[in-house]
Amino acid sequence: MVVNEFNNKLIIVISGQAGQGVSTVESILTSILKKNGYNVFATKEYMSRIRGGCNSSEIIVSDISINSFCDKIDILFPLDKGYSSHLLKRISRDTIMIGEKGNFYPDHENIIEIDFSSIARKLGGNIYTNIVIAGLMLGMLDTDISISEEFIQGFFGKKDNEVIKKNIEAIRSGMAEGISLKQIKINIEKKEFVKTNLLFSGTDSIALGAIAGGCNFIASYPMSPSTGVLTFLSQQSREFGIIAEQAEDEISAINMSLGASYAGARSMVTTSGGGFALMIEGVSLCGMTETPLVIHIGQRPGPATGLPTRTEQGDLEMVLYSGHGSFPRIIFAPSTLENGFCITQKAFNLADKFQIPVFILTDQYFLDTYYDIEPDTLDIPDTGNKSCIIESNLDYKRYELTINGISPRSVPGYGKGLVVVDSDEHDEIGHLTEDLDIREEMNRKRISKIEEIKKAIIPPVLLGDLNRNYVIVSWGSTFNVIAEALKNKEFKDIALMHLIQVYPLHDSIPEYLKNKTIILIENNETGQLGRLLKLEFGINIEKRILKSNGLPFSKEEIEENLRIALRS
Amino acid sequence: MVIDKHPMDDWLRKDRIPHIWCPSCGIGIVATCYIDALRASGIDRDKATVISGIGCTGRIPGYMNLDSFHTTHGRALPFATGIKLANPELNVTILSGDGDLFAIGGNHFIHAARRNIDLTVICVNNFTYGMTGGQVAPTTPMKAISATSPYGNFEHPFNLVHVASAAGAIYVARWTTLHVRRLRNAILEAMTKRGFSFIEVISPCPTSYARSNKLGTGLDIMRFYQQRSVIRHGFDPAKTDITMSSEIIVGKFVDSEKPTFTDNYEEYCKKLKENK
Repeated sequence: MVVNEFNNKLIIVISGQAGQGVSTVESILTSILKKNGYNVFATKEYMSRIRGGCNSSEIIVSDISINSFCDKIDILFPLDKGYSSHLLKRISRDTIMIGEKGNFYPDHENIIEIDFSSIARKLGGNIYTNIVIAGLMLGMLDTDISISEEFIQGFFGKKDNEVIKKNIEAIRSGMAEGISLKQIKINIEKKEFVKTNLLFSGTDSIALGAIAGGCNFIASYPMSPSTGVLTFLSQQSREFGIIAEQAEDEISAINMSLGASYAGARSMVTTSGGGFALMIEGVSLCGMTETPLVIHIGQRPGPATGLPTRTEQGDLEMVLYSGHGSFPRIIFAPSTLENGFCITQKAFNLADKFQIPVFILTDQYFLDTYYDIEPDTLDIPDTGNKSCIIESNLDYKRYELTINGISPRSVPGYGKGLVVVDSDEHDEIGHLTEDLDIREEMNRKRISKIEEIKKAIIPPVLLGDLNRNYVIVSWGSTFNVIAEALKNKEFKDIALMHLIQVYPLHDSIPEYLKNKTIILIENNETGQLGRLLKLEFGINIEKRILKSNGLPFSKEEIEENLRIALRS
Repeated sequence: MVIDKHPMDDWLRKDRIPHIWCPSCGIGIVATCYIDALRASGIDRDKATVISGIGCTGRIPGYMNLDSFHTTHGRALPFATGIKLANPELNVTILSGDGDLFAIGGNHFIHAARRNIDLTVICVNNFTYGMTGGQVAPTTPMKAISATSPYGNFEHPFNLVHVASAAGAIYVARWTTLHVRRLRNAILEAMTKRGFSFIEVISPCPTSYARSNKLGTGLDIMRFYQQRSVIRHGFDPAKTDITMSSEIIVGKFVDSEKPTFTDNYEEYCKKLKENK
């Protein structure tokens, strides 16, 4: 008997049709493994359909955090006989397939046949198959049965006792199979502190960050992959006093959120590129009327409907130039889930302070990824969320000209003054005007806020010392996977400059890049950040690692492309 | 007798007068009726907010001494929905035109009515796009001439009161700018009634619509309203279409009760508090 040994980490992939429960296995496994003290990471890729097709989830179990997508597959659980071409590319001879006879890829030799269905049927039906599979994996690893039982109790808590009992039996049967499986030996150390780590997704990080930022109003229209934020806040609306409204379209959504903001709420919208296209008119209204708003955009490949359930960093330029006329804005692109939480909280305070639209750019990969996080890393410096809204007096002027361009903001019904707002050009009171001198003054006032905004720019994240000859430039969700690849000693001459704030850009950027060979890494076809760097600082970038097939970069892919970049 | 203070002075932004509207335009009458109704309603002035979209009618809030927001084309209703949800204490009125509320903002209109959110919508219907130069509107009657229907309009128009009642409005009325007192009373009724109220005001556009269709002067149009209007309270809104040659059926067509969006929401919140 050949024994396969896995030390320190294990990459598991579960594949199957939509509706077969790939995600269920993923969420049960990751939760229970984390509670046992294993570091876990999970991400999914799926088709735009509710049933059928071929979807897959990757779970990495490890003894130190590995929070990046890997191509390699150690163990594959095929729940179905269908394989997508991109999944097939990841299967090597070393990949061990565990599953039922009919589901193995033809001619793959490294297989372990287990008849999950018949085990499930003995328990009462095929419905238990997924729990048996999860149980098998838990048995192969060193896990505590009482933790699994407790989790199943909670997971099926709303169902009747019989259902819970059956599922506990299913997980026990799976575990028994896993323990008896001698061909695989896994050595991954568990850590006590991991048990109390938080396990949350990119979607959760944005939504929780919004709550931390005092968000009390969201109006949006469902669009993958951004919908989760609306759903999350709807479900938490009672707990946190949030008004969550599903509007009739994105145009309505952004106008509702602006209306709420005018009335004093801390409001946001969540959408994807196609929905944001409809919101752009509202962005311009936001700019003209200086109404605070947080806009979350979960990017997916376009143009048009594109690849609805997949990932891309393709909307930076659209967001940068969205809305007619000139007005300041801030664009964030969180690097990690921890950062997503902190940045979103910050976004609400900055929107309130500067009275501008603040954008948060994530993508499907970011939103659908989750891993365990040490609570201490979620440190937010400004938890007070102090509101900038003032009580108006009788001679209140909504657009009073001030030195820094920021006029004190009041809301209707708060104080003796009137809050007059106009989408037309307006005077200090807020009245429509065609006095062209006032127009120039007001335009200058709005644009001048940029100086104040610049004082608050988040500097780029730097990895590696500044003497290195190569610098990678990247932004947003690619951080973890690039950082992981750079751990490889081959790349000791490469540093990383990663942007969390992509607009306005930090002044230090050209200095870091001086006399270096720059390698641009972006999950899009044209290198949008690279073009922005050229525009803002005149920086030329020759080496570019770009990808736009709808999948995120894997660690191996970054490594391979960096090798090519170093050679050429 | 000479009065140096107009009775509406306190309610208007006098420094903004003279206004932009053409002689014989009906929008000023609607603005006056709104202020008169607001004054009679006893609603705290600090709690009244007027919202508008774009166009001639959209300019009304600019002349009112009230909290106001002149939004972009078509978006008055979603914007007002946001205000009402964020601060239900505010009395929110939308004053906008037929093009703004029913063409570019048509989707928002039916959904706001469906939600039965507590807003009062006053739509000045002059059958045309006034500010952009007299183009065809979703209300322009068949055969009517406009800048973009030079051979006569081939499209069927919306019957606004029918749309509003079908979409769920709990108060629906139609008046013309000739019916000043009835209009003022209707606005008063609508703004003090909880729920989504809709008032259509048939109003002259002497510069575009009336001229293209040879309807005469402002006075001629008032006479036309006098001759053609028929008051039929409670009449089926489905049967109140307006054509170039028909009667104009006016009156209060719908006055019903239905819990509002914010009522439902607040009731749920109240239950939660009781259970705590």
